[in-house]
Amino acid sequence: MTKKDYFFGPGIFFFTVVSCLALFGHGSHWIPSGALLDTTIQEIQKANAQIILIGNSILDHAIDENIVSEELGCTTYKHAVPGSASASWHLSTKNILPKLSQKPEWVIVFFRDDYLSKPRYRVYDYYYKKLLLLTHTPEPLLEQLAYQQTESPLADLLYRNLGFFRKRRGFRNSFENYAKYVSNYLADSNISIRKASSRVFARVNMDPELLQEKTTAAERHAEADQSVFQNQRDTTFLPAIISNITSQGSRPIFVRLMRRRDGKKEPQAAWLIQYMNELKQYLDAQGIPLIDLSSVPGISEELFTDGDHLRIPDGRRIVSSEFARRLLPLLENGVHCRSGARVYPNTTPTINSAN
Amino acid sequence: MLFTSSTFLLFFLLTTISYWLLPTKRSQNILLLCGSYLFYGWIHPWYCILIASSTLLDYVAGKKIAASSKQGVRKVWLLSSIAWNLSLLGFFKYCNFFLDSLNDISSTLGHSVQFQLLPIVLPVGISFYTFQTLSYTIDIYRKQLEPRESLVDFALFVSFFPQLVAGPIERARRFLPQIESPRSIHPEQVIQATSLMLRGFFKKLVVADNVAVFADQIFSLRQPSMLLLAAGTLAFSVQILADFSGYTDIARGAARLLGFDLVVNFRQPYLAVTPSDFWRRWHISFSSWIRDYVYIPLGGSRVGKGLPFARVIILTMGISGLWHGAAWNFVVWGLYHGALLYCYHVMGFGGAWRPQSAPATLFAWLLMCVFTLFGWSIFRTSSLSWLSRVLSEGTCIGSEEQYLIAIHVIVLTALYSLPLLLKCYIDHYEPRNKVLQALWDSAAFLLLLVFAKEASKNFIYFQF
Repeated sequence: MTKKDYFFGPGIFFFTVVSCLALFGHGSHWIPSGALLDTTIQEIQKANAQIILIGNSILDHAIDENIVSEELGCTTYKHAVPGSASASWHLSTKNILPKLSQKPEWVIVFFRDDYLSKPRYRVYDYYYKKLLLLTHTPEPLLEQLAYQQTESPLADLLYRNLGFFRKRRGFRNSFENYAKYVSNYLADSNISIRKASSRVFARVNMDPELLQEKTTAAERHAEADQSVFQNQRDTTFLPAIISNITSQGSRPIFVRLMRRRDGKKEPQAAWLIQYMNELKQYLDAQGIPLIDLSSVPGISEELFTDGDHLRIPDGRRIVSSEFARRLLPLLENGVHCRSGARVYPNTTPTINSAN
Repeated sequence: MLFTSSTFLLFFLLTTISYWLLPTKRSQNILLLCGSYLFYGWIHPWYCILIASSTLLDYVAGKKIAASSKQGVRKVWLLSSIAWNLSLLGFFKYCNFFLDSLNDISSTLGHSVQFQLLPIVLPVGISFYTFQTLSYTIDIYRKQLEPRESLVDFALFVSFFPQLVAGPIERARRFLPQIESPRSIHPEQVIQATSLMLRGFFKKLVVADNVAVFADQIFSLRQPSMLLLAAGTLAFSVQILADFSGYTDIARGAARLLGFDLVVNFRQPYLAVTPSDFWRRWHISFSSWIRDYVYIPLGGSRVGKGLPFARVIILTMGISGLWHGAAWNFVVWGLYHGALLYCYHVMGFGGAWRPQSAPATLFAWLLMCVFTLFGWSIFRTSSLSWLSRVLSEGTCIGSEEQYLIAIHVIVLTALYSLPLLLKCYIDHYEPRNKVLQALWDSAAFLLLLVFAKEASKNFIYFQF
């Protein structure tokens, strides 16, 4: 066999692979558009907001900013980006606040569980595109915390450098849609595969023993995955989010929102209790309030549409009022709302600890 | 250290480069031995103590067996080796299984005695290297092999990292000479090896991990229809082949890059036309081990066709099933295959029998597919009572949704299997066509980028 023969196969391999990858380009990892940033800034300026609420769809479902504004007598603006997590909240606070001619008095960040200290959570694919909407510039901290020193450096390297790799979710979706189409055709059925799947594999149809085993295993895995807050805080966006807010003369508040499971009468996971206690200590040391809305009187499992989202308007109204009630004493200490705040009789404001 | 992790890729790259830079075979073997212990200890450091103890005992036992001319002494050393290795395997793998079974029997008989299960973690790969070391001492006892002087060489034979945790199970007679000889590498070998590794990663990350989702879901249902169970079993049959043969391909490719040739472990097992044919194609290194060290010593086919043969074959396959896992479904799966082998043998379709005509071949293949699939449903089920309930009480087609999902699972399994079928076709009909081979490799690489999941599942055979 000659040298030419040796390299013929690998030559075709590299040519084909490189050609395909080139079709989708190297694609800079970070091509910010800032579209959401610009519209949000305009809206906040227009609203002349004294309080900005930042969070994701859980915030969107849980809090009605009009109720909060009415109860507190402050102008409130809600910046809820569906699916967002700490990376998005970092970009929002970093890039929106400096551009506002009139700074808000309070910036309130809503989170669930340990989202505040999971920098790599929701930064890929769909969420990656969402992040691009919140900046015009390179973001070194985001790059460092979300896309480097990860469990799979190889995947991150590919993600940063290959347009083809970043489009893979789209390819997978197309493939799955094609398979669904073929399945519907072969089965001569018009039922959507998604609906059929959710019915066939509904919780009630699963073997209870196996389901319990899997749930226990998943919870054990999740617990093993949770280092407590003290170990995480310096590699997260939390210090940056605080700094982004305080450097603009605003004051931060963090609010933990409730989930459906919090409505059950079951004890919380030990790691989460410890996590919240440590988070509270950390924030207390800096004089930053933490409001725990994981337990709200009147909210039961039935008021949730799924695991995370409250029903509108019933669930939202209750939580919005409760949030305003707990926020009020804090505002009285440091904020002068433009139209005055209503005072609640017989309430002793408290900031709950984790449990 | 998982083959599918970035850590392994870095480890393998550094080891391979350092390995070929070393000037002598001895220094290469020392590096590989250190690398193998690092690889194994990465999972859990105390695993190294276990494997080292087996290595040392079998090294000494091998020398003592060969050195003695007295049959009694030879037998004592052989039995010591067997007892030690099987005790380790029995304790770590089967202790809780037996305790649990005793508890069940005790409850059934109405006794209140309950044994506490022990918090034992099964060391991965113990079933594989135990069989390897056993073959060494048994072969020396049978005077088919000379004991080795070099402890490094022998330790490397036991712990060689590409095949340490899930085989293929190498025989000392075949692998030790490779360790003792100088190795060389040339471009064609590198190309073949990387292509083999790519195929392995493709099978595992694209095929096995993706079809596993359906199998897992269906086997977690309370009462799937028969059709849904069949679809789930089909998905599992593709998953287990892609998973295990994928591991073997990566192992063989990695070994080839280091200058070693590991034994072929799979030869299109789902093309088998009889149970004997299946076991000549599936996990070949294991089935040949069981044949040589269990089946033949028990009497093999020499005992005749009647009940003695049934006893031998069913016992052998029962042991084979138990090797796969410490649960009754694995034992039943082994016994089921034993019964199949016996029935085919009695009807004159055992051994090397092949159908003579195309229709007969097609019929035999279809029948074998059904038997194999049913076997996998026993293998995959988490409890035999679940399977018997589903088979006795389940509806045939189920609701329209169940029917649709079953069709969807079959379609997706077929789509994920398509590249592997294409590869089989190319390997069979166009083995010398470099363009087709390279195009398949390119497609596999690109599909790997698209379909590999962020979190890969463990290899199924790690648990055995």
